[in-house]
Amino acid sequence: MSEDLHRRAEQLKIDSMAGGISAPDLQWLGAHLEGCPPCAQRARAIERAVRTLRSVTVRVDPALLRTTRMKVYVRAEDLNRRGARRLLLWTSCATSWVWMAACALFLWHGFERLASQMGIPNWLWQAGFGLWWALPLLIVGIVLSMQQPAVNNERDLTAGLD
Amino acid sequence: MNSVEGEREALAQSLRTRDPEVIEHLIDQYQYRLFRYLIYLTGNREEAEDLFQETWIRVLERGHRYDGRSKFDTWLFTIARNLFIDRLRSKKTQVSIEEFSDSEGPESGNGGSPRNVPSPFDLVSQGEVYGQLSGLMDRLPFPSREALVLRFQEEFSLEEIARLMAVPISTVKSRIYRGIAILKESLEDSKHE
Repeated sequence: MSEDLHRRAEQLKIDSMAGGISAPDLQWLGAHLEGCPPCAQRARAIERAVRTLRSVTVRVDPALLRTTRMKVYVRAEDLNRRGARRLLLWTSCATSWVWMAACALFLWHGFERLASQMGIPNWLWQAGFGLWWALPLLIVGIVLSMQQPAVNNERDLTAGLD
Repeated sequence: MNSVEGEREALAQSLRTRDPEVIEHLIDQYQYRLFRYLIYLTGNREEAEDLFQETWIRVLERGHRYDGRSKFDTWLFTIARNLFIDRLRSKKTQVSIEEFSDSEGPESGNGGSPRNVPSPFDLVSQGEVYGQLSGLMDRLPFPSREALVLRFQEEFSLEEIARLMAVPISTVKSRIYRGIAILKESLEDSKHE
């Protein structure tokens, strides 16, 4: 019998264990294994290898589970707290924008009058007006960027739970 | 929507709430499988424990990204695997990323295992069933070892493994083939010894 046939039998046996093979291949394999004791022995060795692989169990340390649960709770609390803080921040930001939009016309005239009284050039007070609008967003940006190191610190703290 | 899809959708919804009790329930359910996979992945119990914790925290943080379309365990193992790869990248020690990701390295010896680390099986505590398998898995190239674990221990389908390992199904098949061939020979050798 050709070497290729034995190799094919081995390949099909592994494929049948790994993901299944077509019915004609399975039939061919069965017939080949019946007539070829060395291949049948190899097939048994393959089955044994897979069985051995499936027999391994791993124990998880209960202390690891406790620590993991605790870390998850700490992190969940932290995320909720930060979520609530962020919501508050965006709500105040949105409120101030609405309020500013409502009184934009008065503000524009106020800026204009003040600038003309103080002799401030147009481009400067108009830039100031723009900055006034961007102020809530700037504050949000600053607060959020300040929160980032705090997150890292909290991660360091939870590392101590081990 | 069938019941499995319904369950996944329910799980996806509860993960969006970031409820730690949901995570606790999942930890109970998947602890053995995840830890076993991490032991194989890292070859180091301590690192596996670290990754185990990080994985669950990541599940809490990124739970809203699980859409319920794929199986939860595939998503969970992908997170664990990505964390492991991130860790390798940041450490740049012991194992090169190439070796881990898609190398078809040497077929015997410790070529595919993380270098200078004891066998995962030696590190797994006593009283566990591993018998002849101890040491044999170390002879496998790393990608084959991972593919074998995912297929025969975690019972993932070839498609799921391909998605998880980010390789084509044909690559998964060849890794499994190589892995079994080496494992079989190793078992035969140990039988003759």
